[in-house]
Amino acid sequence: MKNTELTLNNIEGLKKSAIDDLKALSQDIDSLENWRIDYLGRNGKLSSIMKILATISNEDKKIIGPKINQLKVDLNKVFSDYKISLESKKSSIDENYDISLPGMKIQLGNYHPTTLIIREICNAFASMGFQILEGNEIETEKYNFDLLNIPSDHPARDQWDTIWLNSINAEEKYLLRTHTSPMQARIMEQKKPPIRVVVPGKCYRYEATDATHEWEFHQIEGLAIDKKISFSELKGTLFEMARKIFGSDQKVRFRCDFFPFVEPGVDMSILWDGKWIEILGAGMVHPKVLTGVGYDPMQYSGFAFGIGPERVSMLKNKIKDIRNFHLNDLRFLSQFVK
Amino acid sequence: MKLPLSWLNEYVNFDKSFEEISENLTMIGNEVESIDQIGDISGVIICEILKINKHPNADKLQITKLYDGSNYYSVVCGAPNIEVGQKIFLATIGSKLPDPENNTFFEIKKSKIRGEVSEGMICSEKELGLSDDHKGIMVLDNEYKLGDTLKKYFSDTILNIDVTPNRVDCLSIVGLARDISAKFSENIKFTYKNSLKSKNNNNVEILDTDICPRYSGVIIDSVKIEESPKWLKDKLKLIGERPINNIVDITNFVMFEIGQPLHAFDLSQIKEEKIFVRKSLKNEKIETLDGELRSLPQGTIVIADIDTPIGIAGIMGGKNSEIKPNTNSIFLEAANFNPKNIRSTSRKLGLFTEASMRFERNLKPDLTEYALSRAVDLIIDITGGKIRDGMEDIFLDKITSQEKIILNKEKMRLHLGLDIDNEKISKTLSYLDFKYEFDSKLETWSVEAPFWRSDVEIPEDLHEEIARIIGYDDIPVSFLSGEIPEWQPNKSFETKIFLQDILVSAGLNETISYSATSEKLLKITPSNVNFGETISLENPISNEHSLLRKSLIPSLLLNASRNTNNWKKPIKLFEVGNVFYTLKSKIIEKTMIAGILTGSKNELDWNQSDEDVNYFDAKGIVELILKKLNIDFEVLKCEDDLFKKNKSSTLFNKNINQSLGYLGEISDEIIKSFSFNTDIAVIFELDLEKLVKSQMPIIYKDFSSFPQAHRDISLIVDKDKKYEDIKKIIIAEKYVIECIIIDTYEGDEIPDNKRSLSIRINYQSHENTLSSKILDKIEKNILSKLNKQLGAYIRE
Repeated sequence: MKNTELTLNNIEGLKKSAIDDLKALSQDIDSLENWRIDYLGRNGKLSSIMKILATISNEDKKIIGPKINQLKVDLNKVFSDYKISLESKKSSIDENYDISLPGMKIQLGNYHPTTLIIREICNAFASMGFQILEGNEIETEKYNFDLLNIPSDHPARDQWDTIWLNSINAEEKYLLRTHTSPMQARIMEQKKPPIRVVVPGKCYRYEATDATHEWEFHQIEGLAIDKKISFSELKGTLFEMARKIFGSDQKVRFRCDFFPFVEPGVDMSILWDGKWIEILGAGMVHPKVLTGVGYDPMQYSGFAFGIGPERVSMLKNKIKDIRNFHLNDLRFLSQFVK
Repeated sequence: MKLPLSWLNEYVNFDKSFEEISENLTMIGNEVESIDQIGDISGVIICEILKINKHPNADKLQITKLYDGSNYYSVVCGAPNIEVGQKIFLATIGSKLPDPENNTFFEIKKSKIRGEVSEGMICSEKELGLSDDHKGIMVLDNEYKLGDTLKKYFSDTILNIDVTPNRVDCLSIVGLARDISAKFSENIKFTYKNSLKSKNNNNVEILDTDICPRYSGVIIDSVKIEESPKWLKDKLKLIGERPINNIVDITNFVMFEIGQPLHAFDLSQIKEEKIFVRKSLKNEKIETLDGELRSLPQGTIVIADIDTPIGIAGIMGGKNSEIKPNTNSIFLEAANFNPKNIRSTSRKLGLFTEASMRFERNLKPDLTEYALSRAVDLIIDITGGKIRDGMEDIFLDKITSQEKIILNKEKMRLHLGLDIDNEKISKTLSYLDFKYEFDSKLETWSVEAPFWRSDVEIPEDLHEEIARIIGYDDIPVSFLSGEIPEWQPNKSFETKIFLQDILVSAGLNETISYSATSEKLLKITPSNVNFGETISLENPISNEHSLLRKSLIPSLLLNASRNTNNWKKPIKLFEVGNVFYTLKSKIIEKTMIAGILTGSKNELDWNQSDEDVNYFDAKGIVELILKKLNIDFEVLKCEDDLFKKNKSSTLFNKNINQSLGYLGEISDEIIKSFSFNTDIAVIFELDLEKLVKSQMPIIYKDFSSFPQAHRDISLIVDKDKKYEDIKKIIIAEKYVIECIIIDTYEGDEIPDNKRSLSIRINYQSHENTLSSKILDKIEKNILSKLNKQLGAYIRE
């Protein structure tokens, strides 16, 4: 029992001297390390007290054991607290830390403006239940023209000056699609109504380039087929798109225009800087197109449209020359930070 | 098509401003592309030339004394055709003449020309914007009064209209007048008339079928070839035509008035006065009115006499039969020709005329007689000619009963989404000269389109007619109400978007390049990839763009090099686009994702390295892509002239047993062939469809809640041993969850043919905390395998 008391006193004493010593330390990591070895090291003071445990009765162990454990926990805690405070003091020492230096430069690239506007327009239609599909840029005469009610030797073809491919095989005459409209026929052949799709993609025309004409450009085709789709719904869908892209205040109009694969045909323009600017052609799918892909025009109707995304981007971003879209000049590209 | 409002007003019953007319023409489908105001130049007045003196300091200039009835002017003039006594237009000081080429104005200022004062300018027709005539000054007839303004005689508004290819009727003043009148709920002041008597056919023979549905003609004797009267010349000038002589001018006038091209031949040049309409034979030639000798493609429709062609039908007349000053008798033709044939001939010859433009747009044969009658009346009136007999008229396949189109009110309502009352429908049809019978019970109209509306064939065409005249503005706005189609995921499009997002986040800028490239650039395509045959274009825009690209790499190299002079930051570009080639005559078109990094890794910055990019920068991007798409891959050696030796690889996927793409450092030779400021460029190119196919689904595994342990080892290994093989051995061991290469080192303390690799291995168990005993055991296993299989040993 006496031993027990003695030991308990030792524990108390050790704790007090350890804390006193710690307080007396000069504030540096080396003296702390010496303190640690002195008290908590393999041959330190805590260790030697623990050795007492082996020499005492089991009854005494029940009393002293927990006390020694508590001492171990306490000393470790004061050590780590002291260490943390020491470290935090040390790191706050640099009084000349220059917080004005620029932060880590994280490099982000930019999307091509055509990609941005295509995404924006496609998303506008996706929110109206349109799915996004793509098609090939090499097309056949049949899909690019014939199935769209644009027979060969017809003046309507002049609207699409064509770049043809040199002969590949005897079966077909191939070309670079002049519009995304061939996808109308392809989609109708593959799917069953109801259909609502938009098809973004590259198109090509055999024409001289200038500030408003490019021989390679993009289009976004749209097609909706169902029972009882009306011209009024075409107007609603496209006006809604314009509202989403240009805002609710944007003035938009439909006027009569001619495309052989629609009837009635539409040119949709927006009022921009006091002028009406055409941004898309559209119309009700022509019965001949429906018949051509095996649809019954008495049962189904629908609308189609084709948007020029570069033109829309030019208006929105005040880009004066369509040729900039193909320059791939970083001075141009880096401005479209979204 | 030019539409002068003064001419339009002769046929219409409304009085509207040009703005209103223009706006409404555009809305109903005849887009007004631009508007020219004629004669609206203040300060241009009529003067008489009183005196002409030689300019003392210039041979070609003269000094004129002019008088406008109250004031005198001294004006320097260089025109060759000035004479004393002429009445002319003087642009006085301050007047602004049009400068259409620069879309601006040219102001007349008081000036000294070679030392002589000039108080204005004597104008040509071109300078006044009246015609393209700039041969000399415009000389006025006596009826013009001194001091009057230009505006008094020449004041007009010309609408330039883009007529759509379906509306051949709108390539005439009458057609446009009819369309705009319908919009304003009016009929026009015009009816088709034929006052010609018919005669037996003995002058004309059509030798081939399917080339000429109708041929009408008339012989007129005793014509006097002269300049046309002023009203006729003025009209032609307004519409952009150059007056030639009274006969030719009349044929042109009638064409613009009602849309039917006509042609007049000098009868004396037609052998035996007998005309044959036939297809051209092999090697036939003709000199056309424009003075060109043209070889006719076989099958061209020609107008010929017994020996030789005297005109290319529907396109241009022959020089041999042209109207000359001494022509006395003419043969006047109003015919109709096969539109496809005219179109194809006109394209083959590269000869596009006012006549060919109308014929190829499916002009109806009904029109010939009216045009002929109108022209004959004018010729008799103006030239004093006399009809020899009457009209000779061959009309093959004359359609006697026009097909009826049924307009059903309910169907139109469903199609347009607009309910229109019956009276409005009937009236609109009438204004457009559609004949109809209305069935009030069924609410249907049995409609007969007028002959000039060859474009109206089906009920939907009538729906457009009604809608455009009523106005598209009146059609209500509604939303798609049907069932939303079943959603079908579009994996490639989604992946494409995802890849664009990743690459932009990785600091690359998106480019879009032309799909067609040059022979020189195409050669840069990697040769070890089976690309098949190149596709070439039949009619390329230029030689620079004559072949379809097989890889995105060449254009990326070009784009990167073009930026080096103007962009001082790192150049990192990517493109997602299609490539094209054929394999065994089958077209392959697929989407590739490619990128290029050149020069320094980072923007110049105080806390980032200024090292140049290398192979591992490209590899890092590819690894990021493949990791985010959950695709397993192996890096294999790829030898190709495109790359620096040993610094390239292909990315192989076992699931599809194919390479997904490649990456590497571009060879010095290729770098040098572009104008780079750097000698290093790294690229990668991946196949989108293959990426889509080799993606693995995400399989979730419960994570371990026991602690991770790590051990670092430093290995010495032969230089030819690859890290990937070491990693494979390590990662195969139980409890190893990750193997990270921390450092590689060659040099001091390491044998010459060896290198040192420092590797951290992370361990974790799902069952318990791993003891150091177990870790020791695993590490020993790993080291022994590495030693046995690769000869690696621990660096002491």
